[in-house]
Amino acid sequence: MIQSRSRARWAPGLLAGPGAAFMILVFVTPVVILAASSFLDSGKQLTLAHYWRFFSEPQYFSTLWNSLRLAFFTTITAILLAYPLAYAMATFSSGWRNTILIVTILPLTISVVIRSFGWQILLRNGGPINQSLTALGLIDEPLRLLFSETGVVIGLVHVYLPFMVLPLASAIERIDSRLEEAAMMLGASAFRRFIHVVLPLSVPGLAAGATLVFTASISAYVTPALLGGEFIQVMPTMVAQQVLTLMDWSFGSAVSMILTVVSLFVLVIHWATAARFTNWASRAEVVK
Amino acid sequence: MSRAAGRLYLLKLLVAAILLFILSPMIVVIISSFGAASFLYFPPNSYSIKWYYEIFELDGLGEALANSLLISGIATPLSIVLGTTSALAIARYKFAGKSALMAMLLSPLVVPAIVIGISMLQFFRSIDGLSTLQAMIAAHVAITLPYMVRTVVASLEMEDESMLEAAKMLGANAFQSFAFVTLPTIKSSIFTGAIFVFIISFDNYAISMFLSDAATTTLPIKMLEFIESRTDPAMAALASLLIVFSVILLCISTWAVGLKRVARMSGG
Repeated sequence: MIQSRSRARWAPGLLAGPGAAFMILVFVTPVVILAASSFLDSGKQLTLAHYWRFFSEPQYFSTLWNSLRLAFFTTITAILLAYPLAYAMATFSSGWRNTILIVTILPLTISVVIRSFGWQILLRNGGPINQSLTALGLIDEPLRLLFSETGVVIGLVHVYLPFMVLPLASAIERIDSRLEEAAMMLGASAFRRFIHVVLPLSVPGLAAGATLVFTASISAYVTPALLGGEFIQVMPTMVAQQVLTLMDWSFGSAVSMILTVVSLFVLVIHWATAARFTNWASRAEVVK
Repeated sequence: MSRAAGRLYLLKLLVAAILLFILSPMIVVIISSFGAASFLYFPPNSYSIKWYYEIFELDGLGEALANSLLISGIATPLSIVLGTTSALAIARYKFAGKSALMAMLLSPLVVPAIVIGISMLQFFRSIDGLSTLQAMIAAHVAITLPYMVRTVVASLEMEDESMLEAAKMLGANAFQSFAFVTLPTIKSSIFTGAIFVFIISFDNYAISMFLSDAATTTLPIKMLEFIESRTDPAMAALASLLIVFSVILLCISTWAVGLKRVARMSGG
């Protein structure tokens, strides 16, 4: 008995120790050193100069704006595409439901390099999208899709759509189907049922999905680099440029800290308000 | 057709169109890989499978593939062991700093990949005697650990505690109750978690890119180099093979734990 109690006291330390030690060494230490170097000048003195430089020069500041704008458009587009999929998953037959689920998950297992390659073929000037638009007589000149903001947003939506669909689908599945039936019996049209029943009750899933998509999009490096090229500058590509091309580590680390803080800020807002969304949805359910 | 049925038909059409959007980059890559011309066209004018043979002629691709398999092959078991032991501590015991531990283990999911990449580049460069491969293995364990921890914690929380009580009463020691009670219930989660960890590591570009050097690259890095320098369908052929590989792994994990659990594992 005494033996097992002492074992129980040591067990969590023994079990968690290796993982914790590994993460402190390989993950926490490097990030802390990077954070520290953003506050040091070339003479190793404390300084805020790198941050000041970022916020005082419009050229750098506009990169932050680019990132936020692209993440915003990506999130809105993802919401618009995710609602039909999530709604269909919750209400259609199981055949539809499994097909949607498999198609949604599949891209997650395929390298972003391969997916961007596919989008490069689709979006380029002589690519199928421009060819069909020209054939239909909708455009005379090929649209600039590749190496444009449109291309980057399409690529980002494609990469992060699953993070929108999955939480949204589980929120819609939890909605009591009697609520929609009641609305239908009271004569509400499909559109009004969606606006007044499904939409408000799916807000917790929507908030969770939108937070994931937004924070992932502002942090994305590979998709903007491959589909935007040198024409689209966002925070992550600017960090890579400062560090790898210009070798300006201290400014690069300051930019990466600003990026980290912005993306954590969005997460914190979500965590702080998530309980309220859930309360709201459950209060609405009590009304039944 | 009634108005309601018409609307349902429209919704189905819309859903099918969105699914096509999701699949389109993969479909385009697979179709173009069968083009006969030495410039990649979509759709191809004539078809051939010659680019699938051409893959084996590409310089440096074999080494990159070997590196990728080595890195993911070592990182995956390390991630399984560290992730499972940490998950056991979190799901089974109460101790000081538990939520801090959980936050630290999951933090690679919230810190932007580029920040992880350059911080590790800066840090690992300062350690003498650490090879590029070793640095990449360590990095891959760190970024895959959150998936393993989350998956195993979720499945441990579903475990029947009365079974553990029974094992204890029957005189099983900690190791026996782990081997005969806990392990059988969490093994399918560990298995699927391991498949996902392998895929995430094998596909990783954003972090490997910063740690690689001219002599040591991985498959995604080498592929991108070829995509940027070649205009023929050879890379489409290689990409198609990797897409098929992913589909197979997804089928295996669906077979092991069911589609729902796979979805929960991959979604945030």
